[in-house]
Amino acid sequence: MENDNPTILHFKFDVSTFRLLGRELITDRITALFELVKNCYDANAENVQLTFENLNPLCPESRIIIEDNGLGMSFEDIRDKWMVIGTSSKRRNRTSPSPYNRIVAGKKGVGRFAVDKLGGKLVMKTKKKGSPVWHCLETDWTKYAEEENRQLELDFENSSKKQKLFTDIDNKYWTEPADVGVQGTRLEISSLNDIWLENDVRRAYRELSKIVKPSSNSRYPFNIRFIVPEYLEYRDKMVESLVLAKATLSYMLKYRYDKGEQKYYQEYLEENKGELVVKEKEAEVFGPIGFTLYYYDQSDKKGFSKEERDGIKVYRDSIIATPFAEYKSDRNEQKDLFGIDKRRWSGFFEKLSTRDIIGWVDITDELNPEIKDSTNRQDFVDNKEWNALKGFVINQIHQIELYLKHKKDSKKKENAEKLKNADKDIDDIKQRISNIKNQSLLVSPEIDSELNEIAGKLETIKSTVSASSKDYEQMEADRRQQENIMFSLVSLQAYAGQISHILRISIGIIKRSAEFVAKWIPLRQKTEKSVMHARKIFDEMNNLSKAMDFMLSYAEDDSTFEFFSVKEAVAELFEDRYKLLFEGETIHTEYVLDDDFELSYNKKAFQDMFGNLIDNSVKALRNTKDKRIRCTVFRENGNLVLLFSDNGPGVPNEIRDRIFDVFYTTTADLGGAGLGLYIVRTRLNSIKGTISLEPNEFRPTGATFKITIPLIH
Amino acid sequence: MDVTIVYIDDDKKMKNDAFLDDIEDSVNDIKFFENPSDGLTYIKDNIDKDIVVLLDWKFNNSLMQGDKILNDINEISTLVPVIVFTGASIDAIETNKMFKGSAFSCVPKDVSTQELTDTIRKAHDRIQNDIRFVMEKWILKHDEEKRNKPYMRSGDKVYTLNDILASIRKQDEFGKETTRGIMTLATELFTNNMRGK
Repeated sequence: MENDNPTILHFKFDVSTFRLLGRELITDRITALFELVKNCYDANAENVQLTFENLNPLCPESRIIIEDNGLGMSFEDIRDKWMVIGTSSKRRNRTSPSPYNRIVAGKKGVGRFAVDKLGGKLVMKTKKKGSPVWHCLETDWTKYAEEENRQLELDFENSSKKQKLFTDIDNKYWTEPADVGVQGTRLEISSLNDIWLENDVRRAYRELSKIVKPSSNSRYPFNIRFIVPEYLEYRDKMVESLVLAKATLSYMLKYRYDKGEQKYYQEYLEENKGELVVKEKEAEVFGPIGFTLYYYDQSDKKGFSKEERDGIKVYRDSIIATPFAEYKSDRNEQKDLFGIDKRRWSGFFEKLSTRDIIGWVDITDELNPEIKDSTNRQDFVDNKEWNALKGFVINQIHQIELYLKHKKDSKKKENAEKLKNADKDIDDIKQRISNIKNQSLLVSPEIDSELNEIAGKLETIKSTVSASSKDYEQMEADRRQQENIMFSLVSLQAYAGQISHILRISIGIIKRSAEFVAKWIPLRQKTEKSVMHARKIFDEMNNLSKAMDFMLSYAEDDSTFEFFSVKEAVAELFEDRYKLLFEGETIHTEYVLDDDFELSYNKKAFQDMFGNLIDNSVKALRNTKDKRIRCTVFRENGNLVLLFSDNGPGVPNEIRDRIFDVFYTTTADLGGAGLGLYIVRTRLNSIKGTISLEPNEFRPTGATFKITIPLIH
Repeated sequence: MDVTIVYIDDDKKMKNDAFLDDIEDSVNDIKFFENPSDGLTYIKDNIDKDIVVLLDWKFNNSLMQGDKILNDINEISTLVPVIVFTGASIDAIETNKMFKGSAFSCVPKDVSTQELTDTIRKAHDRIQNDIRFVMEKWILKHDEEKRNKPYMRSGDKVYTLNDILASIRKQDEFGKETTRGIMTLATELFTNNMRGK
């Protein structure tokens, strides 16, 4: 729609676009502000000033002014770009003009509609360098709202009445004289929608402080300044990037491109016998990334506000990639993009939480094209690449957890060692005293009595030390006992989680079958079906009581050792305890025992170990079509050997060495705690048994575990 | 009820559930699909029938989960009520997925036949009273040939009745606008009548 009057400009879009962009896409006023500041960044601005006037109470003079010294716009830009949606030049040009070459942050070209979220009226003044005038445009959004309401009242009968479309709304345009050398854009927003309390300004400040990566010391800076006369703290305040206090541990992982091989290589962390080593491997599916991670221990956390330790963020070409501007005052509602805190037992058992770390993943449009913002801009598109990236980050955090645990354990060992040595040292001193006493020439009676006293005191110390040493050992034993109870609870929890789903289905079947019988038998109809349903009730009930027996077994004492038949114990597992689960998941099971064996051990603990292996296999098999689990038992060199296999995807090579580590899990999303194999190994070790990963029995994929238990121990 | 029940569940056991035996005489037909894709194909091929879908949420043997299937059904038509029927504990995130995909209701797998039948009846009633459904029925009354002829013009686009039907089912912008327009017109006509015009 052309218009002859050059002083009136029309937006080119319709009602629904306006609503979608203005109100639905930008859900929060902090996000709106964020989008507008991103636009400044894209326009190569170095300085942005945000002025807030008369925020509380609102009055005709209330306004928010966003000024930048960016490239600005010409009249044509305003007419052909600003006023037209979806023709964003940002889409074609991925970087802002030279020499800045910033990768554009605002992608959809909708930032300007964020204005609507802040206030009803906008006066924009903008100019490019060299232009003698400011181009001024006034847009009154309140008029748009009126028109929108009017358009909804469609008048079908009286179609002669002229329909006004949005494109017909007048936007006043004029020019003002200006200094030729100046460039930039000034947005003055009035008719504000909301009162801004000091807390709101603080939120805006905090969120904007995240817009540029903390360590980015770019040649072309991006400064944001707050001018809020009403609130003392923000009267004139530069937004500073998050200052990183001295961290306990810090790592900066990089990547490199191998020209010869034409491949990217990614650095990663790996814990190895108490050392955290930076290694290199071929870049994963999500592409090469930079990953910076800071860890803070208890003492380093002090003097560092809680809000500043907020986990891992993603920066795309140095600009934060998802709008974290959707600030939540309740931390529990805040975004935990990588699911760090969702991991079961996070914060326990030496697991790090988002409060212990700060970090950022650096991605680029070019190298990580598959890491895409989802349309609601609250997350990334849930695809294979994003999931792999999540896995990578969680694994890196896990390496730090392992390192910390190792450090703690060796410290403990060292202390126990010292306590033991203290005993010897005391004996040594006593020996020396008696040596001195024996050199009678030197020893006067006074010294002799003094030495006797010292020797007496040493004796007291010695008994204290040896008592402490015993206490320490006792404490360690208690701790191990507690740990065992905890493990037992964890395996119960995993079992309960699996079985309750199946119980609910089973109960539903019984309930409806009973309902059927009760309804139709008195009517003497559907007799044959009634009999069938009565039978089904019986079968389902049988299954339920078996499941119940095993739940109850957890309530029993588990410290007793007894001779039990391995064959029976395995049969119980396959025929009773997990029967429902196997049926529910349609897993074909098979167990083969050459002979029966008697084992003197705690039967429940023995079965629990299998329970853990079965749980793992069930999870591993979740995407396998023809699911199989197989268990073979035989005797070999005085040992009982059990091979336990499934035909799932198997254990990837790169994690083969880590699967027995505590809290190592690849199935956190399925409630995996990473304790299963650790429990198995710990329990086996206590009876001098071993567990290892063997070449798989099933081909082409699968996992086979080999458990060895001495028949006499 | 003049309705076909399409039940998609990968648990074979559910095919013999007493619930299905109970309602078999009071509905037009019951179709059980172990494989979600077969279910989707059936819905697509029989979209002109009155269908209520019962949908399991967690599928074991398939990469296709409840939310994906729900979205695919919406792609075919938003006018098919879907009742999620699940044994899993559903948290807020899952609930969000269901209602974003505009599921009609979510029913745990341990409900009684009575409750489940009530929910199906409600879903069926709701759809009967929906203006979009009324429009669908009205368009379907015309024969195929008539439906493929140009029927109206909006802006510079020409629509056949089948185009309008597809838009209403998908609830795209044109579909929404048309629905809204008809509603406004109907209300207008109704109130005009009352005022004796």
